[in-house]
Amino acid sequence: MKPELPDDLDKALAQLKGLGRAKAPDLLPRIEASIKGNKAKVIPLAEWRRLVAAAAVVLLLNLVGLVYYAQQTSGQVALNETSTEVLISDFQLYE
Amino acid sequence: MSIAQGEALALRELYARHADRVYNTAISYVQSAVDAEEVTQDVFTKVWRSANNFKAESQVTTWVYRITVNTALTALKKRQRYGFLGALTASHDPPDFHHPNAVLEERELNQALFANIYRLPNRQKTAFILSYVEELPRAQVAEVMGITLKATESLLMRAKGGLRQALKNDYPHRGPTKRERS
Repeated sequence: MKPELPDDLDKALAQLKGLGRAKAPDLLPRIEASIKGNKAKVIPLAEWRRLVAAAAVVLLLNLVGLVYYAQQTSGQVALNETSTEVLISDFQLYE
Repeated sequence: MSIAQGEALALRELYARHADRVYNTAISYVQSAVDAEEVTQDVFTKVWRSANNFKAESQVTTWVYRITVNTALTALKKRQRYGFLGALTASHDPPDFHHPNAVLEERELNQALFANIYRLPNRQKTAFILSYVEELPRAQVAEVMGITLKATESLLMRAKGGLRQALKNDYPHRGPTKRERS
């Protein structure tokens, strides 16, 4: 009877066996600084991303608001001009 | 315990003795060198701060492993909660990672293995990493996890079953090599 062939997991486990531990970089100065309370406040990348996203949303809302306001205002000016002309011709003000 | 007295020398000794264990365990969980450094730093800071609470009946190594596992799992949880743009794109996908010591020809399988370790449920992941990456005896794995030996074996069996199936799905085309067939 043929022995059962090793599958991928068996191979991966055999590879793990001889792998050894990943070597840690020298983090001792950072740890000592952190323990002494001198650690600079580091804002994690995820936090930065959320801040940038929030700022982008606020900026976008402002932009939309400005565009909307500009459109409204130009419409108002056009309306005012038209109604002034009507008023002038109706009452023949400058004649 | 001398570290409880706040001696820098004791911290250095502790670091020299346990840094590789902590870093290797951490990198197996978070699968990123930067995050593993962060976890390692956190672990040693916690060890220093809670040295007074350390119960001497538990081995120092077991205690350090326990803190490492909890810190790494917390880091993973944070990552999954705050993926890019927060919850919208919280990432549950494994990073593109292979163990730093994996040689070139073993990297593909190693990468597939770690990707699937990343997807395991936390308890199975812990049992597997401590048993097969850290190569701790089962009894110590059980002690670190605070469970019985039988429960550890059961977790490992489920983890291996899941990984075997996942690897088979990853490589449906891969059969035995010519040498294995003959």
